[in-house]
Amino acid sequence: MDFQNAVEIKDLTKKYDGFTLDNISFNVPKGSIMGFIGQNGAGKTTTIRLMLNLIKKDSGSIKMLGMDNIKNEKEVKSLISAVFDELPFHEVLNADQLSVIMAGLFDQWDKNTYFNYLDRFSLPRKKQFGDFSKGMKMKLQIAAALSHGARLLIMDEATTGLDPVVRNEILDIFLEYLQDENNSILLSSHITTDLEKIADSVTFIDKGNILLSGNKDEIVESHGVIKCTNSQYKDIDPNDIISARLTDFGAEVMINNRQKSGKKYSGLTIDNTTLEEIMLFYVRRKTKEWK
Amino acid sequence: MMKQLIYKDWLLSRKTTTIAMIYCTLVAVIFLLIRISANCGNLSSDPMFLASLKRNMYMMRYVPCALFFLVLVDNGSISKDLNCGWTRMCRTTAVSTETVVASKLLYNVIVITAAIVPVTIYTIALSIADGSSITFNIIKNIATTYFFSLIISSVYTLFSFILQKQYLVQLIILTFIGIAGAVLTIHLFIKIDELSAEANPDFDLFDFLRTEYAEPLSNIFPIMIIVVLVTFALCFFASVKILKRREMP
Repeated sequence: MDFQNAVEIKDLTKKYDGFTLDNISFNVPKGSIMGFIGQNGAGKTTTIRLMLNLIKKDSGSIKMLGMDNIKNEKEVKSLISAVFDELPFHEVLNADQLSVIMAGLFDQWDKNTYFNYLDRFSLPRKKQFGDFSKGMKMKLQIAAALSHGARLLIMDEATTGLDPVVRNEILDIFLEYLQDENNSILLSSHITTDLEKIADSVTFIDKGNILLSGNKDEIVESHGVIKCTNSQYKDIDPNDIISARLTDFGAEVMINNRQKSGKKYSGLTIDNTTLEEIMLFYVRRKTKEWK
Repeated sequence: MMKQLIYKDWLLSRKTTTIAMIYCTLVAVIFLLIRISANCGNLSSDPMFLASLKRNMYMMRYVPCALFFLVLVDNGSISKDLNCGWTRMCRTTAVSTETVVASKLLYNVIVITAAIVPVTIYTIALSIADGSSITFNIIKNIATTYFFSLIISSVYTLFSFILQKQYLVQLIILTFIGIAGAVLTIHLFIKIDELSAEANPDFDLFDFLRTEYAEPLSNIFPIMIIVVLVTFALCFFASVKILKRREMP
């Protein structure tokens, strides 16, 4: 497969009453895992639905695995797997029956791989899905998603609502999946700690606009938080500030060019930051100051 | 692909479909036993009962036929699919919308075909118990019922794709059947009134029902085949179009 990016989104637009996904562009490099982050209602799910052609785009282009997602829909969809936050299988079915059904949906369905995942996740084969816990349901979805040779895994808030043990187990599976350099993952989530652990790159979306997209480590390293007094805060150039949290004891200021700011504000300490903090400060970028 | 989708639908509705089939079979067997008893059992000594039974033969023949529409009642797998996210999941795979819709229509055909078998056996057994020969008319009646069920099931499928809610579809279908029943009843009363006005002493309600409704319906049996095919084609293309245009939540 001769392509550099597992996903290439260019100038994608979708308008709804009260919400616009506004001309967004980003890439998911092949062989990597990209975290797609943003608060609820930011446009993550809309983007994923557009990628899967579940909803119609207004303009723009989407390439997945080097192919147009609409012109080559069948080829694309035979090579991808989508996992949603809710189990899409009927609650009266069991894992054995699901294997028979999925074999009809995917030409490359590998029941041995599927049953291996079931054993690994300790999922019962005869128990109805209605009796599964949330964690079991998610594991089942992932087992099914990884059992037909998919080259791209699209996860929409799949780890949300799971306990840390299950989440870690699932993240380990993702890392294993990425051992094959032809495989890629787009992981949409607002749990940034998961992404911090495993993502190679991140795209941050807010109110239908892409605010940041690129290598995760570079993004985290280029940002920093200055903890200072209110008078020190007033001396910081507003152009360097993403936004600032004002407290009774002073201010926490997010800056985006850490190296440059380090020299410029040599008297102040710039702390390391996290994806969660970056998300938090970027969301309030328009108000600039918040408590 | 289609085979597995049909298998999934069977897994979803097997319990209720089986119960409906058992219910139909039981009613048919009870009717049949009454008829046999009327011919050669204790009830045969009661001339009034026998006379009443003969009058009700028509009903006896058709009540189980009507009951087998029960198999359609729970066939809400389309709304179940839409509500649980199965349809959306299918849209993320290489399975075409045409395959999804065709599997639903085909599943209905299979269920109705399976349901017509006990009805046919019952009707033939009833004819034998009644001492009458198995006429071409009986076969035509069964076939007409079968085709009529196919039409209802395909319309049911289409409405399920449009409305997504099973109870709404059932409400519409039942309303339609209710209106049709009301129109027929009014028509029946007018006719009976006309006949009574003629003071016909040999008037037999069920003979009347047969000649007035069942036989004309059986006579349009060849047309029914065309109607079934056209309805199926229309419902298939309309459902595919609806499903393709629908944006998945």
